[in-house]
Amino acid sequence: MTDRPVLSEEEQRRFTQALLEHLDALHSFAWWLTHRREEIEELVQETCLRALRFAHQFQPGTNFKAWLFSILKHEWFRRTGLARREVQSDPALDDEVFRCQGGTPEAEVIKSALREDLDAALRRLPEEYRSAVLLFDLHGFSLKETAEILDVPDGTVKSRLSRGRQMLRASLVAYTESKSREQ
Amino acid sequence: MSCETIRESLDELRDGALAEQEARAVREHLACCSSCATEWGMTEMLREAIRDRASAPAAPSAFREAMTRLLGPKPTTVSWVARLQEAIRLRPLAAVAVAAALAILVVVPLNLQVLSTKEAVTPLVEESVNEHIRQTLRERLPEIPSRELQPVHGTHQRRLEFSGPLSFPDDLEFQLVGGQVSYVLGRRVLAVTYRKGDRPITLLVLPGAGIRLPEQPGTHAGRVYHAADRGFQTVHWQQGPLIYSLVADVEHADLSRLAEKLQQK
Ligand SMILES: [Zn+2]
Repeated sequence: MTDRPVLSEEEQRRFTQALLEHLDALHSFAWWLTHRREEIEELVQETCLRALRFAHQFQPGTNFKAWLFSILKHEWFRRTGLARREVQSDPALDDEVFRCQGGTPEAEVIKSALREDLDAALRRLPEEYRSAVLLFDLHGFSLKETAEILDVPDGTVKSRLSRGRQMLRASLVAYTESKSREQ
Repeated sequence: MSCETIRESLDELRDGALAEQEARAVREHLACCSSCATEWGMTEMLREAIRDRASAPAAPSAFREAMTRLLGPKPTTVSWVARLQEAIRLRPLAAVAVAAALAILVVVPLNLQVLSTKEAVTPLVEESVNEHIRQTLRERLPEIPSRELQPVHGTHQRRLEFSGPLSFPDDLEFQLVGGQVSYVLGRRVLAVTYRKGDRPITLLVLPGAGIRLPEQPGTHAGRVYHAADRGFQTVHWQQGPLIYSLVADVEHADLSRLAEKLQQK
């Protein structure tokens, strides 16, 4: 009933192996989208399922990992209804965090930021900004790949990166200052 | 070039996306503009902090192991696609009581998740067959034992009112094995397994919103639809807000008989 091309044994083996190689990366990205464990695994599963269904659509020579990430992101959009929703405005946290600047040397704050500080700051970012930062800065995708995964123009990725990092830095500074006030 | 233009191209420089001449111009600017150089340095520090210290939890070993094991070579008559589909379905499952399963079926139709237009023409047949294959390849018993799927009394009765009878104790042809809460077409579904001889049959009970039944109407009474996919027979019908799908590697007539039984109140 399906006229989908069938992969050869060798192609199947390689496809499966490649899929498994990116399992951790997919899991980690899904973890930042939703902290519900069940949902993370469902997302990763569904991503693999779709990757298989559309294996014949993957273009050899392009980035396989980016292809998998775009499937995952699309699946997430589909589930949450966030597809192509543009960021309306900057979040309220901007005003709050930007006012806290000054005092602490920022470079020191970034250098000494602990995992919990970074996680908290990332978690406070609106998803659109966080995804851009994680894809480009953590997972090492190119601007073009990041734009394709997020399904937005390159320029939007650039502005989300710049805005997202600004918010992260401000958030880290604010966090450090509030900690030192408590002490 | 202005500082503003330079800053807009810093990520392209990182990316190696700038032409040689442009890249050189940006580097020259960074060498003599402390403000832009600071900006570059801060971002580099931040990137390094994220790479080195932000959480990036790997797939739990149980999840990875299950997938790896099931993906490995193994004598089977089922295709590799089916095995992988099974593998990626495997997850640490919390024990789910039938009450929970049925509560989901009752609750979900009330706040329906509307699928995007692209998904509106849903591959019901294909996904039902995929789920049948997954259920068939499960290496564990269904989480919901058959005795709990019998709508006998009390609250169960009420909760099952959408589902109708699922088991036919006096019927030797279709033996109810058990049930499972699963996830198909972006929604939670109840997957029930029957056996006819040694052939497994899967019944899916899905919240029906956004799902289109196969086009051609079936031949027998009621609005039952049938289709074949990858050698499996499938039968589908709608009852109230729910869609019922039967899938098996049996004769079409056998599935139709089971469908008729399930439609009887
Ligand atoms: Zn400058």
